[in-house]
Amino acid sequence: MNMDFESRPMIGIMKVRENRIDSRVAIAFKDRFRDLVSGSGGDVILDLSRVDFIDSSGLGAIIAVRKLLGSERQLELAGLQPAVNKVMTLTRMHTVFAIHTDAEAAAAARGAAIQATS
Amino acid sequence: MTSGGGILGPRLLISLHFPAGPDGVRHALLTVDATLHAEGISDDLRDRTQIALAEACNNIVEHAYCDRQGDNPSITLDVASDRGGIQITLRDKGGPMPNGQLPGAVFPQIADDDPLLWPEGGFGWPILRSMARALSMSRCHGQNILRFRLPGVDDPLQSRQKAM
Repeated sequence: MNMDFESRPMIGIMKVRENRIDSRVAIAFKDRFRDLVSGSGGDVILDLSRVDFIDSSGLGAIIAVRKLLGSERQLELAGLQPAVNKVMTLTRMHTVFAIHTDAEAAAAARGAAIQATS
Repeated sequence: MTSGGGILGPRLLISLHFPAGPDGVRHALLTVDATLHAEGISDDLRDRTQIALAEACNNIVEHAYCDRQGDNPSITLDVASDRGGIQITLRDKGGPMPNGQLPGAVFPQIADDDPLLWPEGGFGWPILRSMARALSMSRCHGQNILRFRLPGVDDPLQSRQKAM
């Protein structure tokens, strides 16, 4: 599963470099996510801008990695393509995930907020 | 064709026979999408077709064939253009639907205050049922036949009602 993780102060960006998160790769997605975030702290922005399609297995895998982060850390989504957005909306997951149009902008906004409060 | 059909009736766009597994399903979905793209089908209808078809195929792989992995399980898929929409017919030789009833009338509940309680499954059938119209399943000579339609333009009111 082609993914990479960039750890920044207080936040990490997980970029998925695959077109699909479906039943074929759902377990690989979970395993790779777990490996990449292990040893880091803070919230994670999942950058899905390259992902054209998810099925219910992919959705389940995203929920599973959200749980993996535990109660103290947040998982936020960014760059949802139309079919992915449709699945998130249908299942009402868009009401419980913070969703950003762009991962970089989301991270920058977070950085700015951190500076403003310090 | 019954009343309301186009002058030409449904037109078969592609027929596929593929292994009932994650690789076979993904390849079939990509092939269907490329065919619909070449036919000039809208992005929205193509997306809805991918979403519904994925869930229908995954269900066959995970449930109908759940205990028959040794028999070269396969799926036969017909995709037709019909009245501006897409008509899907899927056939498999897996087990029958338990109780003969279609599951997934409602989406799993999501507790918005505790992510650790969120369901990780149970979304497949509700997704299919909210995308598909005129969905029917029948069984004939040991074969399951699942049919449904994706309308040319989605009916958001109906989707929303079903999603609630």
